[in-house]
Amino acid sequence: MKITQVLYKQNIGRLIKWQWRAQRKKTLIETNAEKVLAARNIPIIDSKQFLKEPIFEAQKQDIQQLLDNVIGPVKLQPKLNNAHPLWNYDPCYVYGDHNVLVRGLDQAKVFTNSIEPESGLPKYFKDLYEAYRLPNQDEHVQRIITASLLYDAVQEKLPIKKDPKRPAWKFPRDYGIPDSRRNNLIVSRLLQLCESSVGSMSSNKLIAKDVYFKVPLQRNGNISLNVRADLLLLSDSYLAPYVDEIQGELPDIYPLDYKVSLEEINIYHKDEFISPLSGKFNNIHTAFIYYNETEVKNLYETPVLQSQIFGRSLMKSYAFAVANAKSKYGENVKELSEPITLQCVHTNSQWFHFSVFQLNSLAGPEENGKKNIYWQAPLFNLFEECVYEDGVPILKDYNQEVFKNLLSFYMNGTEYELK
Amino acid sequence: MSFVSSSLRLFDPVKLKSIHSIFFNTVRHKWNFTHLELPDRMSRSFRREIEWPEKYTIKPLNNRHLAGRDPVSGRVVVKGLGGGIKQKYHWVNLKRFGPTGEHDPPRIDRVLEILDCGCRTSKVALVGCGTELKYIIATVNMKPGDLLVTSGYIPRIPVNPNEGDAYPLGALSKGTKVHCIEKIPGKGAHYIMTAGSTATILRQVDDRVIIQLPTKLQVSLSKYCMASIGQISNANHFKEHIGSPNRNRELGNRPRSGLWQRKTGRFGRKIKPPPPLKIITEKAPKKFEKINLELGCLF
Repeated sequence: MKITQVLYKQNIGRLIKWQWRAQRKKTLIETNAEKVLAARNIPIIDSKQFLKEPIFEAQKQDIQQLLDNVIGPVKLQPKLNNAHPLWNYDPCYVYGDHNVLVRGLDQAKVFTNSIEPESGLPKYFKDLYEAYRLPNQDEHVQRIITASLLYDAVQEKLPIKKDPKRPAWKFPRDYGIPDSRRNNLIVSRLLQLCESSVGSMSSNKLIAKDVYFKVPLQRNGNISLNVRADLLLLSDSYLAPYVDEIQGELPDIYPLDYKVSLEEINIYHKDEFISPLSGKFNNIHTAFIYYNETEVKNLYETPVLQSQIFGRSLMKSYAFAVANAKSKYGENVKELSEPITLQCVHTNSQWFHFSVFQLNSLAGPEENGKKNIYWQAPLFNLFEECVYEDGVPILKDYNQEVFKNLLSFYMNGTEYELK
Repeated sequence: MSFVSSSLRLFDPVKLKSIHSIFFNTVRHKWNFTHLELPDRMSRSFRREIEWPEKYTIKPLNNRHLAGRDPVSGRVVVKGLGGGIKQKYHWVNLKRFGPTGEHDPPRIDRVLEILDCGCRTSKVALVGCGTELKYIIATVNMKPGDLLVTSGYIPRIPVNPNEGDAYPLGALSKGTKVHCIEKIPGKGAHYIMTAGSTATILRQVDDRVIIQLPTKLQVSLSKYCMASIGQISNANHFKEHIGSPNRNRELGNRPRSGLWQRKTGRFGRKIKPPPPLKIITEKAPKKFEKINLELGCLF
């Protein structure tokens, strides 16, 4: 027989390929064979184990050698799962700078075990309010506003604007001063105005920027308040409490728990307390907190409500007060020998929220301990509009009340006032 | 080196089949044996793919548009989809379970907010209980502040439910309008999830409850299947006009040819018998394993 080249005359290759395409899918139908074999005590062995390619010991060593000689990559960070060294089975409820409480002020009052005795600030502030006035103060303040919000040279890309009614419309991209810088500029300049004018009367103050606190609490679970004070006015003497004791009931937030909408995490240091307060100036006089629109958000991405803004003031005031108490009287303090009083100014550079908080006890709402007290003024708008209109800088409806309040907060507790 | 390369076979062998499907034959005149298996177009949604996190969250989820393409092979499976405005996906928790004991107090949820979700026709409600927040599908008259009852107990006398409450089908009287109905107890809602729709409880036979769907199909379900009470929100959705071709593009639909025309009914309607009662049992029919035989080298 002559051996010649194979010609594939009938193109059998393609036919077989088509056949394979059709016939390669098979459904494994269970037969009775397994039962019959089991009844006769015949062992059944999976055929797949014979189909595996055997691995020789030499090959294993070879691979090991290969892997050992490779200069390894950078060691990976531990994965954020339950094998992480800091993993705890019980979650920790974290309140951060970007959080707002879902039920707003009501939930914050229950969380902090605080009662609002009357609307507005304590009566004591009404006397302070009229007592101080700087020469040409409104002109100074208006100049500060325009300098911080219009004339500042920093121009960055601002967040993308969206109109919910016309979702397809793309607005031209705005450049301007970012919100955190606006807030920082206006507050630090207003504070500087107070300092430069009346600072000689109150030299016992210290200003700290971006102070980070981490305050652990035990309330039927771990809670951590990880908050930042954007500007902190520290004093060597504490503010006197305004009320000795208070009776009243907390708001009802049934069926929600006061810990709702706090972030739950499992990877954390247990009972970690961070507070830089120490030394001579270990009393918080006033805390300034910024509301940066790009930072503070509802978890479900709807606009933040006014009640949630008030709640944020209270939660942060509480965190600062507890940190102050813990750094003063020890980390395990529960009942305070002397209440801790501090003032809080919350702003987004247009509206200002002034509040006063008095911490009487660190007890939670479940324990029938002393209640804490919270006073707040309504939101004040520093101005209605501060923009360029046809290239002309315009400041509309300037409100004098804001700086009066700020000055009375600054002057509170000074020696001058005691005379 | 050859020994090393041979030992590298220990790692997962590269699937030749997948390579064949991507890289075409370099010889152009040769018949190319490429065949892609496309998924069933009814097996999933080919409009968008959602980035699911491991744990349930109320944070609206990011997703990417598929434009009717199968994400594995990249081939078009469904025509007419593409583009549209990006929407975030609100992860609705379809499992509404309450305590099953006779003397246990029911679970009470408070409605916190009613939200629009761009990825579904109905509205969603943000509800909370204890430290838990979740989304459920909102009913027509639901508003913030409402308290919703959820119980898994089936009493002897049917309960008098309010809109938005969730009970097992066996606890409800006949004629009740329900939505978000479970197909199999404990698996989460399956029937009646679109805007404005509702099913009616017809009768109870032993341990089975028969409901009628909006398509007039009657389904027999276990009495332990949970169902929510009332009609789903955004009831006027089906009356809304798209308005303009541009708006249709915003919704993520591509232009159509314009060939299709609605039947006029000039020649009458085919009278069909009503579909028979569909009985849903917990035991699914056994599926046999399917294998794909492969020939390593084809000539």
